[in-house]
Amino acid sequence: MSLLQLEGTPKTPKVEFIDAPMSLALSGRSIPENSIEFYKPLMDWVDAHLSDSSSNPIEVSIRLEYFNTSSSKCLMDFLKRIEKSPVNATILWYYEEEDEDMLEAGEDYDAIIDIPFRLIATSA
Amino acid sequence: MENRLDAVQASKLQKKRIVHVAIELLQNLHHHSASPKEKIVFSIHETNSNRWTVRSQNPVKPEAQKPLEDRWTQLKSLNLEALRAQRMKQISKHERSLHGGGGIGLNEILRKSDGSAEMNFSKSQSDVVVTFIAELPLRS
Repeated sequence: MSLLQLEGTPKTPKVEFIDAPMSLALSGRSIPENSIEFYKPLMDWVDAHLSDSSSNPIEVSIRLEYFNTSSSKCLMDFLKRIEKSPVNATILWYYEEEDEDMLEAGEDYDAIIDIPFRLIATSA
Repeated sequence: MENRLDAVQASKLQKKRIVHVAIELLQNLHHHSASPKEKIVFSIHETNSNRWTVRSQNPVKPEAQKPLEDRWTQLKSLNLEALRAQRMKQISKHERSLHGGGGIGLNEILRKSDGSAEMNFSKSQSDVVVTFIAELPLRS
């Protein structure tokens, strides 16, 4: 089993990528000063593990409270990698029910990326 | 800051917007300030019981003034929907700025402050200083 697990910090999200069964989850805050450096191992993991078209459908859970603009670009790169991979993925985009900005962000990624998105309101 | 926003009962959405603008302005200072560093200023204060003002000030290279003014003028001419559309276009491009954001920061500052952010320049003999002021309500 291959695992990429990073604890969340006040500036970076919790990361839980597991390959058996495959699941990818990001949660918390993403406001690192150098987002490219933070997201590099995540991109590498995706490139190494999402190459098998015979794998079962996977869910990618994104539950972010805040993300800065450089993280928004990294998230786009991350989602594009999943889009280009042969796996059958669904993005679960969680947002707090009164957070219309995070809902809009999910809608925007949904409009750009050709992967099914589920926009899921949460109460907290 | 977040504790204080909770204490003054800011709405969740507005709290997030104020934090977001503060983060973008702080990271802007970190990435784009020129010397002298003593002229860098960042403040957040209560304008009145319903609004907070986030302000940043930093020296920039003289040659940065014109492109920054042009970019800001272009963004200020857009309504919130057009700003959103432009942001989408920018994040979907492959290009990045030197610091990874692809130049989306100014757009985000304007969007999160509902268009009520201002940018001004002041010049002295030795330097050019840019000031951003964003005023945000505590409740939507």
